[in-house]
Amino acid sequence: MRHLKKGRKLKRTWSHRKSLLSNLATSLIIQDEKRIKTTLAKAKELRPFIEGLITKAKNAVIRERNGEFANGHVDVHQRREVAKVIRSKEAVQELFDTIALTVLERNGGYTRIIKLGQRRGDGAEEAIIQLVDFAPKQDGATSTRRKTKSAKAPKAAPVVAAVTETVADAPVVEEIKDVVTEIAEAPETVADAVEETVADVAVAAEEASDAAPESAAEPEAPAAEGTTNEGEEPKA
Amino acid sequence: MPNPKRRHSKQRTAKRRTHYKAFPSSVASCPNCNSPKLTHAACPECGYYNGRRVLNVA
Ligand SMILES: [Zn+2]
Repeated sequence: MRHLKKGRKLKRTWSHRKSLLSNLATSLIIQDEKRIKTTLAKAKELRPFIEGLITKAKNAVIRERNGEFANGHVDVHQRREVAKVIRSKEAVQELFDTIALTVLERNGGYTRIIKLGQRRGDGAEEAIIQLVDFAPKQDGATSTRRKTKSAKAPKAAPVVAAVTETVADAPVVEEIKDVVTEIAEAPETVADAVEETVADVAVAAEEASDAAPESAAEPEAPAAEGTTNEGEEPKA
Repeated sequence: MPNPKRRHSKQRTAKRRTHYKAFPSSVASCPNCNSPKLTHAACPECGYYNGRRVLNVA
């Protein structure tokens, strides 16, 4: 019967398996990004293993903060308990001094496993296991996906508005005003379009400078450089 | 040693094997780059999973 036969053997003896989990945990703790790539089976075995260690470290830190140890001493016993399975002083220190403090507010579930599909060669299913609190903060995770889509438009719009206003003030560029207003309505093509208009401005400025040299002489220079820094260009 | 009493016909074998099937793997399109990817796995093309970049794909 399968009663109480929990977990995977990972085709290893007990001692070999113990070493494997210890090594995986050490790698995950020491690694700067707090994420390792391994097989899905190993990742799933590692998860309860390392979460238990993190909880031990976290509870030790909480007890230390509650002043349960005299003279600011640390919870040496818990450190030794963890050091039984993580045989790297460096890793134990990282666990208690960095990881425990970061996960202080989280009630379990410190890790995330992301499946990667099968690898070439042996077809083993691979996965990334990472510490959630150390994963780079990214907008655009599922819950905020809609926000990021709409966020693009407002970013581009103010630039165009500024261009429209300031460009309109310049005497030479009356004709281009319409073009720029069109661009304002289609913000996504702003970057390209603005470069084009800047080029147009340059041409127009040259033409105008023949007719009215004093009024149009100045916009020529910045426009000719082809800068996308439109805010400064139309001061002329 | 115990032995089968009757011959096991081809038909009997074939009938049993009607339930042996190959199922297609569940493929979905990536919400980020629309390329086909396995469900519940990071996209091998763009490295996104769940709206989050998890892999550095060259
Ligand atoms: Zn993709």
